[in-house]
Amino acid sequence: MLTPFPRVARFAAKNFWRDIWLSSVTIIIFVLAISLVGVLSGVKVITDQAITVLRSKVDVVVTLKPGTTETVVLDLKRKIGELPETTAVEYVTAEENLERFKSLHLGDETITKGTAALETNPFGPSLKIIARSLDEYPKIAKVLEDQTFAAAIEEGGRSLEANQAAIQKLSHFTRNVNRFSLALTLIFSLIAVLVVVNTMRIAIHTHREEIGIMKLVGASNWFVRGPFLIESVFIGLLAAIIASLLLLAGIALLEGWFNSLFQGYDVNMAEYLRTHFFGIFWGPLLGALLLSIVSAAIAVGRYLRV
Amino acid sequence: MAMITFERVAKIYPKDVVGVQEASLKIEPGEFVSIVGQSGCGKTTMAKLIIAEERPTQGRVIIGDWDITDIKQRDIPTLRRQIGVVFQDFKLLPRKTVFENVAFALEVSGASPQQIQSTVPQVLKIVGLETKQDRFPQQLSGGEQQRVVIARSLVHRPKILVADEPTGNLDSINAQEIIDLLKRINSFGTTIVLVTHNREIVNTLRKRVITLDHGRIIADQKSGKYIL
Ligand SMILES: Nc1ncnc2c1ncn2[C@@H]1O[C@H](COP(=O)(O)OP(=O)(O)O)[C@@H](O)[C@H]1O
Ligand SMILES: [Mg+2]
Repeated sequence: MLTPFPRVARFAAKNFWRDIWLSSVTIIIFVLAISLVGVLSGVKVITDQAITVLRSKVDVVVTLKPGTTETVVLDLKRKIGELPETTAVEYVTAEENLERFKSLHLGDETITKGTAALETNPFGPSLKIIARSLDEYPKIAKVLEDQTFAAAIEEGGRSLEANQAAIQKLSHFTRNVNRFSLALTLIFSLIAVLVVVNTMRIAIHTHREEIGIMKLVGASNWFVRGPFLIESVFIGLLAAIIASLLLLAGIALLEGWFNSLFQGYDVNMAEYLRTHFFGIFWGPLLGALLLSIVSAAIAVGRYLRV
Repeated sequence: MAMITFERVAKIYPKDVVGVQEASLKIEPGEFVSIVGQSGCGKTTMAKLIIAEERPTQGRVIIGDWDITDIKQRDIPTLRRQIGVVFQDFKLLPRKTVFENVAFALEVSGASPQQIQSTVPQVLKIVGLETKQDRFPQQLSGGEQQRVVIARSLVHRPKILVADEPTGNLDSINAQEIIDLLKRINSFGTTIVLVTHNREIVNTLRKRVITLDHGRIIADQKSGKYIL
């Protein structure tokens, strides 16, 4: 005799509703696990994105000594501009640098007075170099170290290190997040398995009379076990849906913060997370579903000897 | 060909507890056999061996031409659909009506809704409960509940009906009604194996009686009496 799937599914739904409190607790644990692991996946994606942005947009500001002649500056500008690694070079004159300094300290009376009294410009000209990426920087540095220019460059006049430190910090952070995610994923997987196995054990115990009757009247094994397996699919799916909604809500909530984080860069983090949602969060979502089914199968195998 | 064959069957539970031992018998199609004996002598073990709820430790158990001694797990449903079972601890589901309880046995073996709609009223009619199909178990007398259990055991039109103490909790009038029902089912050709320790019933039945003592068959009479 055939065993129609809808009927087994209906039994599963009944089990689910009869033990609604137990099912809810299981779902909540799963939602928690998915969300936490999901948040960590999200954090990783965001920091990776931040690193990429930082790497692709390195501004190297080379400050030259005051009094450096325009010929030298233009020569350097040309040389650097010729490198395929350079996206753009901007020549900022000594006067412009002084003006910028003045406008930056407009409110400060001592500085305003001091600059007004200046006879010579203490600033030199500078070059703002935009490299294609951080990895291209050494080639640019080589040009800067050239005998002709090295003397003209201010001591410590390369403001690249700050970016590099930020990148290093971020990379370090990502590595830690990765390690932390792995540990947390393992712990939560274990908890999820234990919870589902226990839920199924209790469900099997609650239905023992019914199961006993089923077996004695010749129910096929699929009819005895199927409802529990399908119930676990329900639980896994429902948890995945709820967790997805929570993550989406979280992304919407943090949209403003993302925008300020990536201000000035051409990155819409919230939009990126939304459009790549399943690419980013498939791990915890699919993992929860699989874990739920596997643990139900374990419970059925252990506690439901047909 | 015998309907039920035991060949030197032994069932030894853990810690060397004897269920049955050296049990050999043949039950022919259409027979009505009572298995009697004192509590703990192995009657239920015998019934469980017939439905493969327990496996023999030694010997062979054969149903029709099917040797079920080493029956595979996946074949048990097929066996169970050929043997109706009425067990003491095999109750009705309290939250289902009479109709639903009987229908349940068909549902879980994958019967179609049409099959269920036609079979359930038929078996309820056999046990005389067609007018009470919408009641819940607690709205029925003990005897009526037992008749629903029997109705449920009949849905697959089994060749064999195994009833373990079906009159256990009933007064003598209700008990006699159940026995009469079993006789009627037997008259349709179903082989009946009745486990009981009710002397009065056995003595009035005038059918074959197998007597057990400490797991051994000590008597097998064609038209027997309760001898212990
Ligand atoms: N599942 C079991 N595990 C261990 N011993 C059992 C089990 N079932 C029955 N027995 C033992 O086997 C013997 C026969 O039991 P049973 O067949 O139930 O007797 P009856 O039905 O005649 O009262 C008893 O000694 C009983 O304690
Ligand atoms: Mg017994």
